[in-house]
Amino acid sequence: MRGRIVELQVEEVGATVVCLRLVGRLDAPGADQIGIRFSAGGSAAGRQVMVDLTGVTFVASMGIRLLIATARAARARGGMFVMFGAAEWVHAVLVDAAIDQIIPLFGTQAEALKSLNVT
Amino acid sequence: MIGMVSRLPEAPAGEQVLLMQVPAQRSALGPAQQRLTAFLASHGVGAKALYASELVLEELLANVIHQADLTGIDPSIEVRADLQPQRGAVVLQVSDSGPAFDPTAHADPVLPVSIDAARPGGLGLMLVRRWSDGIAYQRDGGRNRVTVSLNDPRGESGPST
Repeated sequence: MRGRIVELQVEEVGATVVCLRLVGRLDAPGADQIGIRFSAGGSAAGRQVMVDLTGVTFVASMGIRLLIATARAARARGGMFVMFGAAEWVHAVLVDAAIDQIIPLFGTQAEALKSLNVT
Repeated sequence: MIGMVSRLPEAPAGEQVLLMQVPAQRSALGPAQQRLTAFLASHGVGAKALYASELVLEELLANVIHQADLTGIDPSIEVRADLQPQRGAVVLQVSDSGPAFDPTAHADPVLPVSIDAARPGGLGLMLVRRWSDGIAYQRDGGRNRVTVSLNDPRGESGPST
């Protein structure tokens, strides 16, 4: 089902940052599909976590729950958790849910990296 | 077949209506959304209304399926989408035969001010209210009926706040 699959790529950015790159739909089926890998990738002890939302075409409440749970786990392990690149409607949903108030949300990867004190 | 969405008898020719039965399974969400999106897009519904329709449908269906998981009762879910171009609106109705549940009676959750204060629950219905232009609930003949209206101003300039 083209466009109905979510893909997750876990990428090391330098020595201290892990980037979780999402492509596709972060809805209930998508969250079910990648939840374990996403949580594991975002929970590495002491790592800063950056979530790339540029490829996310749709987000709903179950996807938001996954973001919140992973952010909380990252913070509990002493790492920061930020996001960047949300497209128009995805950004609007995250703002409506006040996610931008509790998880830093940037426009670009460069801005996200800067917030993590990584150049 | 898991997730299969079947179509109810067609509306009379010329009417812009989609009818479908949706199994009470998480795997059925994707096919139902895809069917709805294809129908709306084929009738020229705008980008914002398309997104809103998918979001509203996901949240309402997910809620019914969650309730079905808790009760073990098959809620016999039906979805109806009506295009009302003269009004510039899409009207979605999700009905089910599960226990009475009025989503309009639930207040929006208090939005978190910190990640530690963030709690699950209520977010989906809040998004339905934020992304729709009217919502109504009716309990009729042993079925819950939630009707949501979504404006479709073609050439919209952005999401409403």
